Amino acid sequence: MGRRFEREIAEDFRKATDLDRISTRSKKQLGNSIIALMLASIKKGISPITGRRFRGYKNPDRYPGRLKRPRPVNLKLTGKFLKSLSARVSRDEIILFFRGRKSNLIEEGHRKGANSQRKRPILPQGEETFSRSIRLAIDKKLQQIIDKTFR
Amino acid sequence: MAKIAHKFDPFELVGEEKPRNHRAISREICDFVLEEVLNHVGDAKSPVRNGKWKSSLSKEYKKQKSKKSGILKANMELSGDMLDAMECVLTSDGQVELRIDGKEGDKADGHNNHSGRSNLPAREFIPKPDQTFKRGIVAGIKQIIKESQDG
Repeated sequence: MGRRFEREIAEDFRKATDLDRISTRSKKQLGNSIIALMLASIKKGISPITGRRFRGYKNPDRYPGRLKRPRPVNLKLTGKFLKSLSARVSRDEIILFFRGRKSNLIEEGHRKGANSQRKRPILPQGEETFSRSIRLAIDKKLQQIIDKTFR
Repeated sequence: MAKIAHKFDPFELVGEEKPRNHRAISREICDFVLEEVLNHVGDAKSPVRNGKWKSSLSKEYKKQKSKKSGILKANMELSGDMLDAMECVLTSDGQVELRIDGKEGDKADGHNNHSGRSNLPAREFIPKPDQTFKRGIVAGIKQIIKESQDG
């Protein structure tokens, strides 16, 4: 059920001259850094894909009602969903995914706008990519890893 | 109704020649600037170089805010309408304009005080004509231009 975000990161890894010399640990670190960047953005109500603010709730009295305060729109109710965002690595890929069936359903719901909620996708799919700020931060992190590996 | 805006030429800002595809690059810079400003404001920090930011909230306002927002720091978000109205556009003369227009522009002027008539606590998030963005944001703009030159 894992959702993949591999295209851009894989491409960056391929740019490095000797892939095997970048340790799994460094790739895992990069994956976790990307997750931290995404969560920091979502926490402030900013989409990690568009870099724009998530649109407000249509009818805040109905949802979130008394479940939570209507601002910021940070996709957090219990916190379990965002906590399940994870990273795993293979030779030249970093795969970001949500752990567990329930979290995948919630992510799908946000992406499609289930129950007439507004669409708030989180993991880039297809032609989508990360926001400009996140991409710059990933580049910086990746450069640090490459410098450390090939120094 | 006020329009609070900061208009600048990103190439001039970082001392680079304007390439042929400058409009496409400026569009990317628009996305980046808007996201960075939202990120700083979300962290209750000024994105303006040497910009003022009163970090504490009054007792009464805090009480009012606690009903609508889960975040009790000066992140400029009560109903969310003012930040939702912030946009970054490319003008016909090829400049980048960060702005809040219309009804929300009055609110924005309250904290940015471009008019010089506001007595509200200063929280500057749209630079005045003689101001610019923090170093990190300017460095990001430079990086985007550099990446586009590298192809």
